[in-house]
Amino acid sequence: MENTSCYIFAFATFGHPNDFRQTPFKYNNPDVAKQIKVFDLSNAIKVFPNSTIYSIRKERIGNSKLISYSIYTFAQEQASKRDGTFIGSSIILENKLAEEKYVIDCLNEFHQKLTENNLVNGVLKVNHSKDFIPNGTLTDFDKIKNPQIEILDLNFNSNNNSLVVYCDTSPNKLELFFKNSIDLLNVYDTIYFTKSNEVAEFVIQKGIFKLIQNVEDKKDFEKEINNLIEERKRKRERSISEFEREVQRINDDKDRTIQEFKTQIEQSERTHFENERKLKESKEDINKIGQFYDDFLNKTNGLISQLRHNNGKLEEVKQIHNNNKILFNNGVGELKRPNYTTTIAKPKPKGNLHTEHTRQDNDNRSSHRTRSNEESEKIGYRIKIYKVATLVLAFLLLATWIYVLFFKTSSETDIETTQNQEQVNTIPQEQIQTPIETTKLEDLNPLPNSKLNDNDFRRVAKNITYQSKIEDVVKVIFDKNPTDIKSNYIGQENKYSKHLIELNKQCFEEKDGLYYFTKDTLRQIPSFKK
Amino acid sequence: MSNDNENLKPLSFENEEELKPLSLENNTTHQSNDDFVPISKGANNEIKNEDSNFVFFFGVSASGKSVILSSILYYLSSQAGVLSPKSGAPNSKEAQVLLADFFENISKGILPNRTTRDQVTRIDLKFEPSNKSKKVPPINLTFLETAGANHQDINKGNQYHSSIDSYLNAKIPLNILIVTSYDSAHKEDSLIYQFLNRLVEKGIESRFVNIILVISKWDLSGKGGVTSEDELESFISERLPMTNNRINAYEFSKTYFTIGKIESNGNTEKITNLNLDSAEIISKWLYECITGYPLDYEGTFWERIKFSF
Repeated sequence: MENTSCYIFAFATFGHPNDFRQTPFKYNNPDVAKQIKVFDLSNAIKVFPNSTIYSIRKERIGNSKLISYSIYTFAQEQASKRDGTFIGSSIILENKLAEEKYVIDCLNEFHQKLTENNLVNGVLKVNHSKDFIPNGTLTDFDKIKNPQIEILDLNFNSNNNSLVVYCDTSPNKLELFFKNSIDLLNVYDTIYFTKSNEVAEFVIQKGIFKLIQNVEDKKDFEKEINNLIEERKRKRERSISEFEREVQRINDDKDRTIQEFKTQIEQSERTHFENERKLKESKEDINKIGQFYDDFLNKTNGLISQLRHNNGKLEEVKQIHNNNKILFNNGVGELKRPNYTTTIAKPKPKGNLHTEHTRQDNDNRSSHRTRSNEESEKIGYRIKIYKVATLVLAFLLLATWIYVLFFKTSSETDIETTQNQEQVNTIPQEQIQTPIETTKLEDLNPLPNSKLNDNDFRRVAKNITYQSKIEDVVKVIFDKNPTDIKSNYIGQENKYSKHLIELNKQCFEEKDGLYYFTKDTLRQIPSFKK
Repeated sequence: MSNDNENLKPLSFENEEELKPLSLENNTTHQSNDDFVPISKGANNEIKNEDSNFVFFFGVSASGKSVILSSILYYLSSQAGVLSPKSGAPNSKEAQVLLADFFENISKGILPNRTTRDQVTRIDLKFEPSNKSKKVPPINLTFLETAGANHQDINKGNQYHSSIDSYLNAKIPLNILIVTSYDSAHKEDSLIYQFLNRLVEKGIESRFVNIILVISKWDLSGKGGVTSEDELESFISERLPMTNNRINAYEFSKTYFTIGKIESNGNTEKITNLNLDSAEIISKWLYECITGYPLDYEGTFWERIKFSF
């Protein structure tokens, strides 16, 4: 055996007892050769006598990315006259591609010889593919045995989708189809080509594989390729516009936040200035107060010395002192009034100066009220606030429950955007991280076009337990919905779980980087209906 | 490949439906002497609480697994009751197409196609017997359609393909039909023996599963059926000695199967005379194994009085 990056397989349906068997006649890595998926055909497509089916298939085995080019023609099993039986050959290229022209030439040549050597009147001569007599040499094998062309931009994850193209399969036409199919393998695992109307009609009748026509003016294959390009372009444009919208939103938020900050700062400056003025006035008042008290004290001291030296009549002095006291009391009342900082603007909720102002305010008032009075009033005031707040919060909680229970159908995206905006208003830094999170969410292929109905998500709900890991939840969803979900998204479990979390944020909690299903019911389970 | 220069034209996909009259033999005449299959003791005497009752076919390619499956389905739905999709468990598109093919083809006398390797087509159905007795309740049936190649593969200690293995590893109620054909049974004694060993290795204890050995293509013997139990017994003990001992030891059931008369018509084979007698025997065995009551149970004492009115 030669060491090549090219594998050649021959296969057939042998009926009793071996059934479908495939054998590699040229291979590079025997482990890879052993694991190559069977080239058997499902009941979605059938080989008819005198018909030929070509196919191109993608497959990944470990680090090997394989593209198989196959041919199927009718062959009868030795011991039965069952229909849909076939003999086939396949050329498989590993990690690189070769010129399609030579691949087709080699494939046709190999298969031609295979059928010549192993069929008698259309009936298989042997009972197992390992007994096939293969073609010793292939004219152009040199040109494909070391493929050099890079495979660009092809996702080898399985999509579980197949396409059948009804078209001219002459080598020069097939060459172009194969060449253009590489891109299309992003959408389909296998693409079949046949010019047999029997095969095409069979495929249509079964309705499992999609069939398109590319004959005369029907150019569905080109359309399919264009659709792919368009779809890709649309996705890109959609992303661009989403990004732009986000940029715009964040810009707006930035302007608004800055404006708010400025206003607040101005307000605070004004308050601060006002406060400073008041402090200054208050300091001046201290002198005045001192002066006022001193005046009264001096007058009283004067009266005392008058009485000591018996310079005046006691009654008169008392009268004078009494008058002084009246004046003093009146004066004291007048003196204190300017000290009240009532004119200081009410503190803004977001102002840093808030607490200091309040304290100063209260301190100034303290001369008027006893401490205990003030405190009891404060406590009463707080209790009132708590009462009101409790009532309001209870009402809000009730409203939330009602909303969650009855109005949960409203679109999640709306909620998401408002949440994002709220975050911007309070903590601008976090907002920058949110768009990164959302851009990480890759689209599922195919894009979900439906969601599980009530019956179906209840069925899923019955089978998952709280505190399950997201992987287990997805496994249950896949197992319970093999057609609409599993068959479409197998291999995309990670992406699918991200979508699931995104759609049902309220149901999941993150612990140590893992998501757990913790509460509520999964109502938004994306699916794809053909 | 030969017609490369032929001009191709777009197709106008119009489905031409052709319906052919059924050719059903009168079943009642044969019923008395055929109904001799020894019934294995049902694993449970009540309906299992499991999700469904799984029916698994073992046999090499072209041994008749798909023919037996389609005839059981046809018998159950055309004569014994109603077969409907199980609610809440939609079948895959492949399974739906397969089911449609089975029904459509068998009524036209067309034999089922070969089955694709490395994949299990699971068909979930609910069977509601037309028997009105309360002891004969509706049951869920899940048929697993597999390819002969995958069964042939277990030869010499090889493992089953993962798609089949997952069913054998799951703790589900299994009803296993081991199918081997009249003309090649003698070559498959060892393979069947290995399969029974494989079940033991997987921890599937014989007493918890229902197993029946079916000798298919009995028409190749030149007779429509067997005249006595001994005929089948002696065939099995002669052609399948190891399997036979095993089956007798565990008191598994044995029966034969024929779909009727098959004629070769040029390149294809067609059923010219559809006979559902043996499908009926297998269906009844299946039903009784699952529920513990025969499908044609005549009713309890009170029911019999009620029915007589």
